Amino acid sequence: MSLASHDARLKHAGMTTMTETTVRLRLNQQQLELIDNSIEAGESGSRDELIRWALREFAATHLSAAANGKKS
Amino acid sequence: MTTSPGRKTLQELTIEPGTGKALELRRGQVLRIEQTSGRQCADFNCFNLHDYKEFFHTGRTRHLHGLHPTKGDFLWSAPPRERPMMAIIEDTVGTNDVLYPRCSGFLFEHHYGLAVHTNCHDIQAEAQREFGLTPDDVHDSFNFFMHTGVDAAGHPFIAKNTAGRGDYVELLALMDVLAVPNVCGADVMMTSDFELKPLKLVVFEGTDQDWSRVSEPPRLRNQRSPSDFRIKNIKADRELYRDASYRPEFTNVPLQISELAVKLTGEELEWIEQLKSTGKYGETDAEVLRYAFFTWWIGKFMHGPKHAAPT
Repeated sequence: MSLASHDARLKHAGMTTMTETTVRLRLNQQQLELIDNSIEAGESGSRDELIRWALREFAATHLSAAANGKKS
Repeated sequence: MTTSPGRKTLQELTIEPGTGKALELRRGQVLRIEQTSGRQCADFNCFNLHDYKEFFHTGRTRHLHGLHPTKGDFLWSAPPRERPMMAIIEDTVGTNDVLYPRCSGFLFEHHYGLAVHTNCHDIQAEAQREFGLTPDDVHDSFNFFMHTGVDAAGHPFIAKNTAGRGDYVELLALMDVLAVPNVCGADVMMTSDFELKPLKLVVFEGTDQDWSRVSEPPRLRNQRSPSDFRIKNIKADRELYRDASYRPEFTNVPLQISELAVKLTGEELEWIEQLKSTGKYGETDAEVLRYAFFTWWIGKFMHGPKHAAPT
């Protein structure tokens, strides 16, 4: 996706700034408990940070696999 | 009598084809199931000696140890007890199975036209009857020396039995149990190479060396006992009827859905876009992000087998 189409898409969504977009996860209290337990265990400083860490590592693994033509 | 260095032999017997034997084992005792001439499958049931409602569960054992549990693995009881009942401390073959159910009278009648035939369900039932259990109490068996696999299409298969004379498995009782091995009754299947042979059973007093071969099992709040149950007594009649005073008390219900706002940079959103374009992780940004988060968390933090799909 080009940067222009990306910005247009964000604008259409009406939920962005120029640098950040908000994605809203629908989670129940048990799923939030799992996230908060990880934070309490010192794995991350916040819910936001933990989830972005996950995305970063997941993308690094799965997008590189896709780029190499592997199933992932 | 069988000797085993440092161990005291408590009992030794042979079970003949078509038979099985229920044995009381106290915590710390060891049951050896040994081939007399080889290539013989041994089906096995196991109950808590003081509460027969706690019994061995193939499903949880399969979940935790895979289709072929062996030395170092446990025999787990069914939910909600979920305790290791016995530990496999020796296995000289390594071809055990917890995929196949016990063979039964129905199976031989349906597949072979043999209405009266040795089968593991009925052999187990007859052996368990010595302790007051009924045919309804027989559970799916741990199949020792049963050589099985799953083909590429997902279908299970039975391969040639590779156990030789003198091969054995040893089980250390981690609680007082009723252990019930039987000579598998399937003589017209590959299971025991089309010939039923006796099996030798030996019970030893376990030693410190035996205990040293067992890893520390988990002890968790959710390994429940009848004291945790809302109904503590065993239902003693066959008819099912409604309790008019019943009020549901499901755990954590109602599940409350809330939105967790996560701020992403343009680069992070681009990753989501690319992941979404694969069609494998979700249809919306939020679905993709949730998928990515939980699969990542499982891989990084979850205890036990991950059960992740091959990559």
